[in-house]
Amino acid sequence: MLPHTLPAKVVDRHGLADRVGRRRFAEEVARKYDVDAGDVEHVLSNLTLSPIERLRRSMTRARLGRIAAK
Amino acid sequence: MPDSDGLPLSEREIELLRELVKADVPFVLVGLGAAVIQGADTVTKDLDLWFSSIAHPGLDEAARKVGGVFVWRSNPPLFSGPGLDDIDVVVHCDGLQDFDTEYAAAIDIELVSGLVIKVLPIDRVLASKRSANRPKDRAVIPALEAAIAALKEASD
Repeated sequence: MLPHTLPAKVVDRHGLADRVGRRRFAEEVARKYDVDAGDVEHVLSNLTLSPIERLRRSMTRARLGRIAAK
Repeated sequence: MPDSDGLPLSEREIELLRELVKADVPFVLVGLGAAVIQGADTVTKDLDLWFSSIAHPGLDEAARKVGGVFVWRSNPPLFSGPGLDDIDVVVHCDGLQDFDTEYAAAIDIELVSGLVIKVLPIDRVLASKRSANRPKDRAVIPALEAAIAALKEASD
């Protein structure tokens, strides 16, 4: 089962608490899986949020997009 | 329509989910909402709920308890009423196995305090998007792949 939150020990082990650490780890992941490092970095940032906060962030962006398109 | 507390869903939508869970209506959150809740960095406009059966009496009961109705004759069926605009009903998911199989493998996630819902694992969301293969599905595949890679590595 995929995790939906990052345990503190994982954050500490990979240095994910700050942006520099997240970026470094994201670049490692991106190289290994041939995915975009920026996308990975955003995921790591999202994982520091609660599930409802992740949803709020995403739906707010969608609503702003709809407003901008009008 | 979000409520004044800054939640992405209205109070009635949250209550609808609570009532569905309370009535033991089997459902799974699917689509990009499921992926976002698990960390994917993409945009979703609403939540897609996949039900085992739209004939379950709990759907209409839950809708009525929050001041709405469940319009099962609509295609697709939908919840209608004030503040119920951002929850959609899904009756078919491309690329997935039958409801019971996916339900059994779904992840329990606490959306808000005291409300735990079943969520389709993000790798299954990716499988569904690949199968649907519309332009909008193809567009989110890189973000889903990145999320799956990040989750896998971060959990190792």
